[in-house]
Amino acid sequence: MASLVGEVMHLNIGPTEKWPSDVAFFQPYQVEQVTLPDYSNCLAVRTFLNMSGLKFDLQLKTNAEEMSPSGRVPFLKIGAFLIAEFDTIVANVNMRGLSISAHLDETERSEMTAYITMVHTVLYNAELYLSWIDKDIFSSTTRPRYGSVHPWPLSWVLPWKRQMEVKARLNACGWINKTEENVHDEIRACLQALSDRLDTNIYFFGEKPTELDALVFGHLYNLITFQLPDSRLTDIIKKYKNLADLCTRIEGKYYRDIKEN
Amino acid sequence: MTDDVLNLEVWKGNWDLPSVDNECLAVWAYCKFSGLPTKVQKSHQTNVFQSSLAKHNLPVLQHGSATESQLGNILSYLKNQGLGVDKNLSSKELADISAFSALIEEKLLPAYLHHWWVDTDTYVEITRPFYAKASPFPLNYFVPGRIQRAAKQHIYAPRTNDVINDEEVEMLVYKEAKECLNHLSYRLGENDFFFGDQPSSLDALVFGYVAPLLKAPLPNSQLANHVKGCPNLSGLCNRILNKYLPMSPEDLEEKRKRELEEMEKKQVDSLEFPNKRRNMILAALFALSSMIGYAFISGLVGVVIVDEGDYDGFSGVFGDDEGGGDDD
Amino acid sequence: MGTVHAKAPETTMESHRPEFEGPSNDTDPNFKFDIRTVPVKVDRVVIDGVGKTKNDILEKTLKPVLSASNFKEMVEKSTEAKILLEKLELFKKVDILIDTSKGKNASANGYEVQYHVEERKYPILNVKMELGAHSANESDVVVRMKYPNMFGRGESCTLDYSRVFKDDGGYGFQFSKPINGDPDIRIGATIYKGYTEFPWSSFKEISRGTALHLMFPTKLGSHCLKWEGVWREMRALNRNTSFAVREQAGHTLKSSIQHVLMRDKRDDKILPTKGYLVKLTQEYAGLGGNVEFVKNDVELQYNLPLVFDSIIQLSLAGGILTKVDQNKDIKINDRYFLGGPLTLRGFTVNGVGPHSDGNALGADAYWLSGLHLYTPLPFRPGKGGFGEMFRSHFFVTAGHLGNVNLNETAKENFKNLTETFRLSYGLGVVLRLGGIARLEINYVIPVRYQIGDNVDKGFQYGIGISFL
Repeated sequence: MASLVGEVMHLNIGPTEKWPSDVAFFQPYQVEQVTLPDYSNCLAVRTFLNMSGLKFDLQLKTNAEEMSPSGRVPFLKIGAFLIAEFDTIVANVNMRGLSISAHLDETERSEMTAYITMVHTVLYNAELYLSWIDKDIFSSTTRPRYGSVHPWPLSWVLPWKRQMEVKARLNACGWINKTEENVHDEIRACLQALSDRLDTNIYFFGEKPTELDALVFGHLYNLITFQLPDSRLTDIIKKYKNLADLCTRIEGKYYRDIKEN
Repeated sequence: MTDDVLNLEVWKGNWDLPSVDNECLAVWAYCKFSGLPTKVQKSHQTNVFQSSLAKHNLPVLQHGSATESQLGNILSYLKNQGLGVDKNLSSKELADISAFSALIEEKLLPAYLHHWWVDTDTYVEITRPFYAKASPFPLNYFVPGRIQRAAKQHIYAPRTNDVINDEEVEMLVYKEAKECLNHLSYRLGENDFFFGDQPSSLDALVFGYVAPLLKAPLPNSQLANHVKGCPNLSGLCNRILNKYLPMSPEDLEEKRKRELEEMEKKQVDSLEFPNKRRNMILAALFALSSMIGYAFISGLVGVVIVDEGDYDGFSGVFGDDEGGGDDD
Repeated sequence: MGTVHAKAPETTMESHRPEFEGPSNDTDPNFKFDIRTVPVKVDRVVIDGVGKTKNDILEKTLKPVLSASNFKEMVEKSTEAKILLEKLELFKKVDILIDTSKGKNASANGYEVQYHVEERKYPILNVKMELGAHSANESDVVVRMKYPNMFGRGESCTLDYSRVFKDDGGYGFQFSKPINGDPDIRIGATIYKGYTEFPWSSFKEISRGTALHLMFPTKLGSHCLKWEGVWREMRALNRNTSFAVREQAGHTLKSSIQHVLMRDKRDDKILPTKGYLVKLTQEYAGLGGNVEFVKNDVELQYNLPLVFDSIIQLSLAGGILTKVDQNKDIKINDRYFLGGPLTLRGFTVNGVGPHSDGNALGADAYWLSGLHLYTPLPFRPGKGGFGEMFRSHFFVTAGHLGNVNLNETAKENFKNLTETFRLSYGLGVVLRLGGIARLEINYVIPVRYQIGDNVDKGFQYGIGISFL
């Protein structure tokens, strides 16, 4: 969910302050700690910044979530300001005149916003469900990862606490009563819509990538490569060939030098 | 084939609308677009045994042996049965509908719910009395509260945490709603409907939200004002109302009766009005004076004249005590 | 000292008269009576009104009374036993009645010491505004239920709940039991949850913890040995928290043992007129959890009465925090802070020392000293009564808060600590509150301070239970 910390920026930013050289990007430790849904968002933001050609210093912190002004990762430190979560960060970059979707007209921008929202609501909630509600994945992957940086007994109290919060959230939007099959269906429906929209294009809105491409890459690449007990999700995604190709294309172009996971 | 008839139970209407509830309007409009044979049952015309309100929230669709409640489920059901005008759309257009439905549910619905069910003024003066009257006895005592609790959960649970409090959530939710309305307006553009000349489920969905905001007498609603500022959305709404959901003769009759009642009530009130206040004051004074009189007569209250010498006995209380503080 | 009955015999030493036929002292004004010479045999000690209190603890407490051999001893020992019973909090009321021994087994000069006691049937419940309930110098509304002598041997259970006027409140459960009937040797356990805000550093902390403690006296003084395990959640207080503080947000689990030695020979804790205090504290954190450090603190106070009921007081305090693992920095919630209207006067609360963006960061070591002169209020208003709660107060305070720099030698560090110190002086009025707190209103002039300190010149007032 968007944070209001970024709102402070509107008043203070001047035209010359485009992008400081010491911007820091904070996320939890990649290999041992970060959970599936959090990493989707982190990867999406990093991809977006790479696509925009904006440099940042990657900082891995065990307490990134507690440091964040909105309680969620990732967050950026730009000068004296802290900006958290995908939507707010994108809005901030756009406000600085560095938008990569400036070439879209109003209608296209509205469509892009709608698809971004769909990915946030369907794929993010599905990832939350699978990580925190699915018993297998929770006990084999999520809990050990989330608790790994804390001493006993916090290593099981904190994942339990977070699980309660996720359950409340999923209950409020009606996901808690879904079965695993339902969740897989939702993922398929979302991917179908994205695939239909992408069609045979290189990126969702033409020749140049936009924040929607970054977000879709973040989620899909993560779902394919994240260490999970089984590969059902990978199989689901690979069925949508044009989306899998999009991921490969983005990985090749923006992550040539970096090996993930 | 009576099997084909869709039985729809919806909330009753007001303010020139066949129903006041956004989900009911959306489902009803979509059935009308699709030309599906629909039999509509209004909530206030049922009793507690017939009504689905005891178990579900409206709208509720009953088709043959299947029963579905909630907008999303009903639309999926119709899609799976191959009913509904959406089947004529291309896959790309259907993808757009998925995306915009997600946008509306995520960005517009929370503010909508807050506006009707959480904002104290609107809830107390308009929403709760209306929904209570529109529910059959005895559900009218439970149902509005039940809907309000669910609305609050839906708005706040996914958004509040240690750092963000309720007021900030409210501000955020309204801001996102206005942006969403703008996006819908941009997407609609100059067209009659979102996908050309024929309406779709997306039009039905948008209509459901926009119509009550446009038609209800809301004194100071930022959402309603914003909608009024998007002329193409108002145009869409009126177009749908005129073509697909005109007021039925019974609705018109009801409306006339209600207006007549309100006028009469106003007249009666104004006749009594100058005296009403005076009567109330006189009654209060009378009650007060009789209570005081009784108190005096029965000795509960008395006026006693005390000599100053009577107060000597109190000095011991403060003088001799040591260390009065609590040392736990 | 006990209650005054209208009908029952009075219990103060002076007014008791043994009942025996003897020459009355009505006729001879010079008759002196030395109670030390009256031989006494205590035949019986009776305790009446006991329900759940166990016999072994009563026997141990009352046994010394039987050994009295003369009248004065009997009265003294029975009063000491009563004081001991009160310290153990066994009863709501304890009254002594000394009577001659009657009946066929009565010996010559035989006496019977009777204790009339009233046990508490129900726990004590109170709701009040309390200072220092869950954090020092902060007042909360506290609901407390205390059950002294719960199982019959002086075990005390307390349950309390406090709500600071915001979201989180705190609650706690404490258990304490005297060992072997000795009220000075106690073992106890606590479980608590607290919420505290630290506005000077702009962070807030939720703590959930448990502690076990053992208190015992030795020739040196009273000791307290405590193990504490606490989970602390630290978060930035608001949007304006500096990044240096925000960086430390997160969860810490501290498991530490602490030893406190206290030797308090003063006659009063708030406004002492004579005596001294020595308090030494050592804490080692690191048996589990993710916090490691060693902390040493000392507090000294010496009071000297002068003419005209004035007191001169010298106080000194200091502490040093050392890392155990050089790679693990000590977090802000364990560091020392300095400054305030009751400690290093002339500075805002905890306003001395390194700061970042206006937030105090705390440091590894500090020292604080004060030289005070307390006099009764000029012209002594309310003498003997109300006025005794006030004092005029003249003071000079000095102190320093800084980090120990490992790259410099001990000598250089010492030089740092003593050269860059802060100094202030002033005068004011002190008011005693209850038995544990003090209110001060002062006019302070800070004379020496470092850049970054939050100086508070002029009028300052403070209220609290911890002061120097």
